[in-house]
Amino acid sequence: MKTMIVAHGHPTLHKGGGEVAAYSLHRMLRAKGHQSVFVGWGGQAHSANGGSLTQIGEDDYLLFTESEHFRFSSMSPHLAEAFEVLLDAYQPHVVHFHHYLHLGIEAAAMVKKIRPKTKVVLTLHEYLAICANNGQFFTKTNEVCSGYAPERCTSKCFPHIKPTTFFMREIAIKSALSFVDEFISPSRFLADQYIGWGIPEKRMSVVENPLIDTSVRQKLNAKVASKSLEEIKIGFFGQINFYKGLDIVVSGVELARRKNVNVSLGIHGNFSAVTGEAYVEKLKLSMETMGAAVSYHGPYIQADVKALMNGYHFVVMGSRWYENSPVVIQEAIHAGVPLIVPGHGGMVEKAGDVGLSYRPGDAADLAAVLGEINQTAYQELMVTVRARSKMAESDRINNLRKVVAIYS
Amino acid sequence: MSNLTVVKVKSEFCEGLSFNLEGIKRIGNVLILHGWIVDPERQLSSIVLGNPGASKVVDLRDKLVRFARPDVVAAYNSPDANIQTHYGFAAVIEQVPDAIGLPQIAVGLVATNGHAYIESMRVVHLDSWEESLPNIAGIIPDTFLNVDRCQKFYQPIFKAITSTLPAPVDALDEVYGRKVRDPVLSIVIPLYGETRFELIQIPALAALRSRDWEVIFAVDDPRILEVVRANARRLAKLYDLGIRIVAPTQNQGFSGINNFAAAKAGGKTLLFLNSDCFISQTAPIQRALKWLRQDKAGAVGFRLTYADKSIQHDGMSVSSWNGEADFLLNEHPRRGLPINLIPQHPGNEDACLLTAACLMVSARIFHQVSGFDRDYVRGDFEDSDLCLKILANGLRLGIVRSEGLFHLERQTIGDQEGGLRQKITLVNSFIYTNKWKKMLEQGLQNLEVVA
Repeated sequence: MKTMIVAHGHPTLHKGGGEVAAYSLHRMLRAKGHQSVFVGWGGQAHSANGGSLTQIGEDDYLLFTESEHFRFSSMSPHLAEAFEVLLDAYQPHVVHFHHYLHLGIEAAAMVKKIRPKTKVVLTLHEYLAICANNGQFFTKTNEVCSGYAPERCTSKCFPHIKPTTFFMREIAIKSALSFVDEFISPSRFLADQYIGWGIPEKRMSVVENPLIDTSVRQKLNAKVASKSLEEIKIGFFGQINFYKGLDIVVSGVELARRKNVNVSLGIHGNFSAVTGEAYVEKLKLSMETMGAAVSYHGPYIQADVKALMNGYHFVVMGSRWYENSPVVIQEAIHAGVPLIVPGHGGMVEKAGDVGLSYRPGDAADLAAVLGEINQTAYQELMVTVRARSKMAESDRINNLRKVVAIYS
Repeated sequence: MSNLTVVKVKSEFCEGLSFNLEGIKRIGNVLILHGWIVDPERQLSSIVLGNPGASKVVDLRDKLVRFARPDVVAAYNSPDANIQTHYGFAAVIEQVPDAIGLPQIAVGLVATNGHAYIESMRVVHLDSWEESLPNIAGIIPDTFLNVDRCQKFYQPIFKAITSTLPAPVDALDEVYGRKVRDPVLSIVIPLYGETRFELIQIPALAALRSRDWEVIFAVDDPRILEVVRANARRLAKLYDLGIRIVAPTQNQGFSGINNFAAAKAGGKTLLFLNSDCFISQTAPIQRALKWLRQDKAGAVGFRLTYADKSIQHDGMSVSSWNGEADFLLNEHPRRGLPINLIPQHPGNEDACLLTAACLMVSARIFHQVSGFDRDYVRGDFEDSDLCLKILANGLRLGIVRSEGLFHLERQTIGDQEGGLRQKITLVNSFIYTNKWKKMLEQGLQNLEVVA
């Protein structure tokens, strides 16, 4: 099988979940003897030589393209040329896109134009096609969106844009996606959103991203959380911005401690200004007021994540938005650490049996959940998550098989 | 007339009679004089074009249209004022070739006291009717319309406008992407004013994967031509779709641009598609194509919905404005109702005409009936007019009633202030009614439901 994996980023430049998942797939396919070439988006400008492609490794390329951010339409004059040479050189049976962001949503149509018999697969990573508000399904009035409707887009998020404009956006995006033969969704929740929006169910498969385990447990001398729950240690991992809801977690910890729940929070990740500096500043201030109960450990590398997670009794999430299939959940399961997640979207789907959930956006409910944690329940969760952890490798292989089956 | 005393200043003209000649404009081959008069004792006997008493004058008495001028009434502080004593006036003078093109024209007023006042007025020549239309229509500030006003004022102006529309001259005829040889269907999409619609139409039509359809964007606006070309060039590289752009050098209006593109179309069948009308399925189009192959099939339209899948168009029936027999309108039955509640053969069916927002017709028949009529200003009745021409040729009209065709409606026409849009529609209605009243009074057959 000859495949070309095309992603909206390259993990050498940005280690987002989608990029990591796409590159993992590329490496696993090669490891299984398939021919795979990886093409990751490298930026909006162009390569050092002024071209649209740069080779950075064996069958490994950076693609430089530009697209607008409303309909994701390609604005690059050289995108077609880049695909023509890649498809001609590699003649893949399958082009598997991870995301449509940055690349130009017409990329699927372009593959069909150049090589009509090549199968086009698209792994969906979030809700950008449906939701113009950064694909978050979270309104500018700070509510979880109750579903796509052009009138709702206008009333809740973009009062200056007419509903008909959203409808035309929908037509353009759906038309472009009609050139995709098969869609893969890592979560049932995300699949249902796209099916509800209009992607034909028969072309949608739910397959978790097969991720290579890159962590090295022994590398760090990180403290392993004690078996006792005298002090409940919870860890937050990942990007820190408004949508990720770390502020809700901090407030939950504060409220729990006021009720004499002995809980502490460790934070690992980058502060991102993507949702505004004011959010970050306010969050930092509230973290400082918590003293030793909240500690910030800075960013981390993927290889360390298992070891770091093992320093906690729970990995915690605070996301206001639905998420899809967060990598942090897979990582926590691989590490054998149970989770505490907001009870909606992809998080509760993926972590439901290996963790606890609380009402999304509700710090008081998180505090209540923390207050109810006891040794017996924790041990039961540990048994489940460890069993899942042991199956991680076979899950990976199964998921890879499912993807390859979709290719053929 | 030889007994007239010509006075040089207004104050010597006639006591108790005030007036102001506000302007004289030329559009095409008509002149439009307008102003106001305060004449409580009815002393004005005539207004003429030319010098009173001369042999070549045009008496305007029968041409005058009177209308209320609240500003004049307020200025004269006259509680007893009425339309007979304080009024605005306008007169349209047709076919005065001697006067056409003159920079100045004499206008004379004659009073019952035997005095005449002559004013030499500068003629404002309006060559860009599109921009001048609001000003001309605004001469009469109120929105009242009746047969008299239409006949004397609006209709001759509209006629002057439409008869002076420029004949199209090719500015551009280019193909981007794949060339379609011997197309089964030519889709004609007019573009005016905005450049966003081709960004949606191109992917939407590409997604239908109909390789034997020709897509023609007819750009009726030189201001947007370069942007449309750039978008077509960019998207043609990405989609396997042939995109043809045709453009005249000057704006042609809805009928003109569609006729212009239809004359260039390579397909034996034409589909006129508004830029804000979108096709998401091929099946309705294929059914229409099949139906049109029948003997006596003239044109076929489609059930169209808004974005929320409520009916926008399901055929048109004949109605009238305020019950006035001289102002017939096109009615859209079932508009706004959810499509899932409407059967293919609704009860009380009276739809007999079709919108041109999405209308399929064979090129032969379209040319046989001389295409869309250009008698209507800014688009209103061209579609029903075309349908009636087709029916008058003994052909039938059909409609495909299925899902998957959307019309967002009036996305392409900007807001027009001061009731101008309604005024234009009603004047077009008057012109349309004059032309087709006899046939419409005889009654039309319901549309044939194709699918």
